[in-house]
Amino acid sequence: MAGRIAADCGARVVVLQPDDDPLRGMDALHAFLNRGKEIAPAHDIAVADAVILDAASARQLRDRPPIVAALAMFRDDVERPASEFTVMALGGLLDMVGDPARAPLKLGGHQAAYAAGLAAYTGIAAALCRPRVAGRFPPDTVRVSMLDVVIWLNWKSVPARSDQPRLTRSGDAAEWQVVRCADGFIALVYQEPDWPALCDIVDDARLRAPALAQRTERIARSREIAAIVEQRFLTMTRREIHALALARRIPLGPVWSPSEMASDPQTLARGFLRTERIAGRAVTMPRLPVLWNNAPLDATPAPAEAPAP
Amino acid sequence: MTAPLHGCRVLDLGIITAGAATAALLADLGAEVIKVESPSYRDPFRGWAGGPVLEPGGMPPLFRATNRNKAAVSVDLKHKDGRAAFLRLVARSDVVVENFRRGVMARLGLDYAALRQANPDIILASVSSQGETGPDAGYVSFGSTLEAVGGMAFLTGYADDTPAISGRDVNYPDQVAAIFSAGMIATAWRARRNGAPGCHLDLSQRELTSFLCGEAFVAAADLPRSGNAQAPHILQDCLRARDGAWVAITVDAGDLAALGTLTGARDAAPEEALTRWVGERDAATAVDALTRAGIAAAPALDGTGVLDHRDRLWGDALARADDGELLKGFPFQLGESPLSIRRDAPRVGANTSEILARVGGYTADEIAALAASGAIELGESVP
Repeated sequence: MAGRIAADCGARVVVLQPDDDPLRGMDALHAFLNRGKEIAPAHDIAVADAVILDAASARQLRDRPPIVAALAMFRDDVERPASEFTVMALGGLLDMVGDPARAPLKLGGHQAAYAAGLAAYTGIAAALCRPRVAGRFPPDTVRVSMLDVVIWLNWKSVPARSDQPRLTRSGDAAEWQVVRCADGFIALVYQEPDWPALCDIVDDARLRAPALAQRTERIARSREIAAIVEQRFLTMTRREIHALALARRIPLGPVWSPSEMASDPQTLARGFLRTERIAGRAVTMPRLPVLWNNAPLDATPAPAEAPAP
Repeated sequence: MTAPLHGCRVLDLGIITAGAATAALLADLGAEVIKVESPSYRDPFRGWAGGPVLEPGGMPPLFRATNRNKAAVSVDLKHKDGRAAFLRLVARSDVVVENFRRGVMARLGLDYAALRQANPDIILASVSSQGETGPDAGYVSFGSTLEAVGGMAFLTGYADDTPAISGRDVNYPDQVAAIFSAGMIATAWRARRNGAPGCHLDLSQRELTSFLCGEAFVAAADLPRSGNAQAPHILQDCLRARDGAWVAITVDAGDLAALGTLTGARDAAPEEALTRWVGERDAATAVDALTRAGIAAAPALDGTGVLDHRDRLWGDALARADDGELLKGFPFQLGESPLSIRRDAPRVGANTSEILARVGGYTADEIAALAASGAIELGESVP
């Protein structure tokens, strides 16, 4: 992920791909993460400005480039069998998602690994801001621990003080949750000032009960409120609810699938998804999520090489 | 070694998490960050307790965490003299960060064109929900709204069940936005020092949320939600231990022999045997045995449990303030100029006079006149 961002920002990025790279054979992941990179079996690392690698390999480096981004599961030299999933468990993130009566749940995709990639990129970008001395960047090491990243993302659930209320997943008793509508699902998300507008949209006398004007009461009766909202939303499509939410400035979220997003007006207006040819196949590829003076950074796309057979 | 963003001056109009945390990360990296509030508008995070009842004059932990290492001015951007004072600061700064609702900067007469007139080299980072443009630019969103419209909620959830969101207490897209936005701002600042002009960075949190599930767009078709399972792992889930705690486990093909020895699972689909084996043990015992056998396993901790492993498995994610309170720390660390909390979050306008004098070039008499007219607010007089 860190390298993908660097490539989109115009860096020459070379992937040193070992024969046993687990990304081989995982076409979508490979195509997404390696877009715009060169893939080579070997390269002289010392001539680069920066190298991104795992912390154990970083310790073995002899001729290091100026910037070394060393990624690990845990801080320092802690070695213990771990996966991205078990790191999310240790970081409390699994505990925050899903239903309290069921197993803790991960967010879709590779959020812990990708967020660690964002952190690595930002560290590298910052370290490269120091002016060169005799043509070389001053040396620095960017240390990224995936567990620290997860905890940093989930910081609000870690009690800063012992008297802080304990947070955990609350499923269908949560103030914000996903409810059904006529053609799919809506994330019921609202803040205190949005309550009257939500009542207007749902137009059900039960929501206008005086007791529900108080947020504490609404939190206690979240399950009941969601059921009332869902009953109304089941008569409306996502597009209809989207139009009402836009007009009334309520942060309701229609749940779009990745393929539905390809024809979503906002996606189209901003050119966020593009069709590119990779290994002779047309694929949908998200651009880097930033417009720089109204234009994508990678105006001249450099497609990733085909994965080795 | 000097901090990497030393010499970069940032005017921070960021509020709540996404904008303010972006600027906080720039401050952690050594930028001089000046938080700009107004006599009539505070960062709403100042009023979100999100924890124990505060002592009089106390600062909410959420605000404290996202505003450390910053100075603060209070300037009324709706007042013509306040706006002029802000533009004078813009003329002598490198970056402006904002995450207001779309249209607010233009209504204040502070869109990119106006800022550029004051300083052609300025970098404006607009961190928004859905982007500066498009039919949904004005769509009000919080983090979990973006999980829904960005495709992530569709991918999150138990197998064959409804989509799920990270919810109010995580608001995942707001957190990652700060890391990415800080990275793009550093990139733009470096480019400018290498001769590129100033620029407007249009950072859409919705697009970032989608980008962080990027492979789902590349895939030929939408895949059904699969709970905790994930290719190429043979098994990945949380299993309930005898003591009621959940154990997170990832099993790969190479683990099957060790798993068989440990649990008696004899085939390539070890879920049933492993579920039974974990259910017969306390979580700590199960995790210990599995990790000793080389299998990725961990307890699914809550926030308090996370804290118990500080200094052993993790360290920098939270940092201690001077008074001992734990605050949000850093998502990465630098070996040569470690990120640290050097100063506590400022009170409203705590540095108004000093900044207007040093950066804006105003005299003491001019500052007094601005304060008397209500265009600025001097922190010394704010309770």
